[in-house]
Amino acid sequence: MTALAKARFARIVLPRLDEGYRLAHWLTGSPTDAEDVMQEACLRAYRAIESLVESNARAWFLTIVRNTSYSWLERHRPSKLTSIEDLSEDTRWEIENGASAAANETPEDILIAKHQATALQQAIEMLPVHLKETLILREYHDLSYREIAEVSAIPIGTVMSRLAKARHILAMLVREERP
Amino acid sequence: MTIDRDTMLLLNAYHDGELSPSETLAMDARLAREPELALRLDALRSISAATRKVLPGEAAPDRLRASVLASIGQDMRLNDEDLEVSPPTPWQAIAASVMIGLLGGAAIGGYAVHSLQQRQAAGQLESEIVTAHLRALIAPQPFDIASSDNHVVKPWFNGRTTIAPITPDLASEGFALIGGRVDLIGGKPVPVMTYRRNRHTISVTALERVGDDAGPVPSINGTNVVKWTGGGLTYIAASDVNPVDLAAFAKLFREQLPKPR
Repeated sequence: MTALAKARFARIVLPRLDEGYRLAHWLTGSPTDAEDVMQEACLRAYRAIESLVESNARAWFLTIVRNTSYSWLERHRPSKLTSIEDLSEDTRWEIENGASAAANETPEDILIAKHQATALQQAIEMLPVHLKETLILREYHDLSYREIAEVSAIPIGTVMSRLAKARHILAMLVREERP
Repeated sequence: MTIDRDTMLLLNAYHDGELSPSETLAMDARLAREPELALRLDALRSISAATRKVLPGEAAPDRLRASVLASIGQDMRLNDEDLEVSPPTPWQAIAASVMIGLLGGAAIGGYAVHSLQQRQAAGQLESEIVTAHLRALIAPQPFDIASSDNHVVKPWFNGRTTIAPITPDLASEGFALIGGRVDLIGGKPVPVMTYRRNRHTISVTALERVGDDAGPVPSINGTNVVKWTGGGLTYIAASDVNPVDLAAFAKLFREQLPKPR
């Protein structure tokens, strides 16, 4: 059955190396860590590929990359896993939401000029890894809420709150960066 | 007026096109009469658009593809000849030949592939056996016939392979026979006995005798391998069980072999 595995690997995984790498890069925060994660994720994918039911191969591969990233972080960078979600979700939300409502932002406040792309990038890097994950799966990989829920193994409600939170924090962080 | 949490969630879902048609209509109506909400939506749209510009980041380095192929190359290399039968579409054929090309390219300069080639010379059979063992592990059951009775497992091999191994049950020593299967090794069907040690599976492959060397073989991708000969056959055991247990298993198994006269 190796021929099947090879053909599937060539068709399903190889075209998605770059996509997987970018997810691993954001989650681990380092290009070399991302390469390590991808090595491991591809090996896992290859070993499991014969038993894959090809309904959503893309979500399947992203799930492997996502899970490998987390187990890799647990082993090598446990400090990066401390999560904002350890705080009470409501408390957290009120703090953030209250603060920004007071600031009374306008679209102009949020409009991101070219020189602010760097600030935004840094802001994304600062996000807790769970929020970053949901944001990337939505805004880069363009997955639907249902697909994100599948990849991250969380309820759709959590996808919604993480996404709202992530965007909210970014808006605040970027505004703080402005002169 | 502050906007409550649920409304923010709805607004995000609206922006992402995730609301049902009726929810979307309701949100349209709210946006028309609540200017603050409309401002929030504009803000959301600009942060989302800006995020989309930043998120792609850097592309994967070119070497990633080559090193991924090298690391799974051990599996891929084994049956390159199978490739000719497999691709049903030219598309796949192209993808597959690109892979082979990359593997070949990496072999010219790549250290990883160099060490692979050494391993190929030293232990192609072992590699194939480990691959078959790992493949069996991802199947629902690592055997085709489930039985702890060696009088069931042994005859099951008749007619499926020409090799007649001994199939001792070592349950009393902590290595329970759980079944048998037939693997294709070196292009030939060969009998494989599966044993259970705690939660680990041990695959014992029987081959027509190849050389006289016995003992532990360097582990392959974390799978421990040991081989021994007896009764005109070579037995190769592969497992993720620790090397000490695997050696103990090999010793017990050898003791069951018919004594040479």
